[in-house]
Amino acid sequence: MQKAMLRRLYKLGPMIFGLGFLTPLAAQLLQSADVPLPFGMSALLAGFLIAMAIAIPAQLRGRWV
Amino acid sequence: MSNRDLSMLTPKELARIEREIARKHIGKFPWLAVTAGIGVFIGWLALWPLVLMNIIPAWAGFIAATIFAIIGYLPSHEAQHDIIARPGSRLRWLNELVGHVSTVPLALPFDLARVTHREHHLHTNHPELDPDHGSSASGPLMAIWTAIQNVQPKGRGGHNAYSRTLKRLGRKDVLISSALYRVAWFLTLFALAWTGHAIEAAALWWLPHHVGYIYIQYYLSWAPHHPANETARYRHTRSFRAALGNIGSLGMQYHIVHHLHPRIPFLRTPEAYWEMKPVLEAQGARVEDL
Repeated sequence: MQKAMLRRLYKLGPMIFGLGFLTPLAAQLLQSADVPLPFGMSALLAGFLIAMAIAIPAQLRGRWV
Repeated sequence: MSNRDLSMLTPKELARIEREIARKHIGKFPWLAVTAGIGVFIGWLALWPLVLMNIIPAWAGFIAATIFAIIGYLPSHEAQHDIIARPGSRLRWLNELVGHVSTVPLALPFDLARVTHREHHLHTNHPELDPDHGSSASGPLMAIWTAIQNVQPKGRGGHNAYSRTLKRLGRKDVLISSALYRVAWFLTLFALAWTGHAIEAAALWWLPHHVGYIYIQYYLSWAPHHPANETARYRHTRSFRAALGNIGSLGMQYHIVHHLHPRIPFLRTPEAYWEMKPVLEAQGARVEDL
């Protein structure tokens, strides 16, 4: 069961990494650079969109670059 | 002994001279490797409060952490070869301690590194059996690009090659412990990120891990074995002149000595190389560049 769970996690790696790390990273980078966000968007939502724009192609292609 | 004298000796006689030279360098306790291994870990840990309390900027922390991550591989490499202390010896715990802590900045599980590195020594340049063969490339720029590709989720080399090796060897214990190590690393990064420290986590651990892996693949896997198409003892590894010098290349200019005599401590390989060079030339080794 542990093995199956690890395998599943590994297959979803880019999406999990996008949510778990890239989303808060992008949000905190936007905040620290004082980037003005459109439509009153929160930094976290903007971070999520940036992270997904990177993570979804990575999930589909199996590589980040 | 001149080169002409050596050319009259048989390969067996040459190997005996080579072993005698190697023996002079083996068995010295690698104090610097032990100090560096533990020092790198402590230095890297110290970066966290320094960066989190804004005493040093994140970019400076990133540079320092990347240097620690790269340098830390070397003491771990000594431990992988039991150079600090052999199994069953009084200081064995120190060998294991250095091996484990020195690769924490690189987020590399020591047991994984030890098992796969030994396979690399046993099957150097074998396309199927050498776990580092995925780093082979036609030139320096391609080597960097290949190293980047190897760390991708579906990359040919890197952790995927290591997983294949562990499965082939039936080392499920190491496979599971390494997978759990990776999961723990990611969870730590996530926890740091979601508590407001994503930039610090990226600067001190995530980016140094990636830059370190690429650097180590380039200088430890690609450069000393290029073009990686021979598997004979004196032909699979070469000496070479690195653009970044011996320190910048992590001492890999003399990597051939390490492959021939893995128990020679890392810092003694240059001296051993220059002593052995005429013998290595007579054996047909790839030592023409240095």
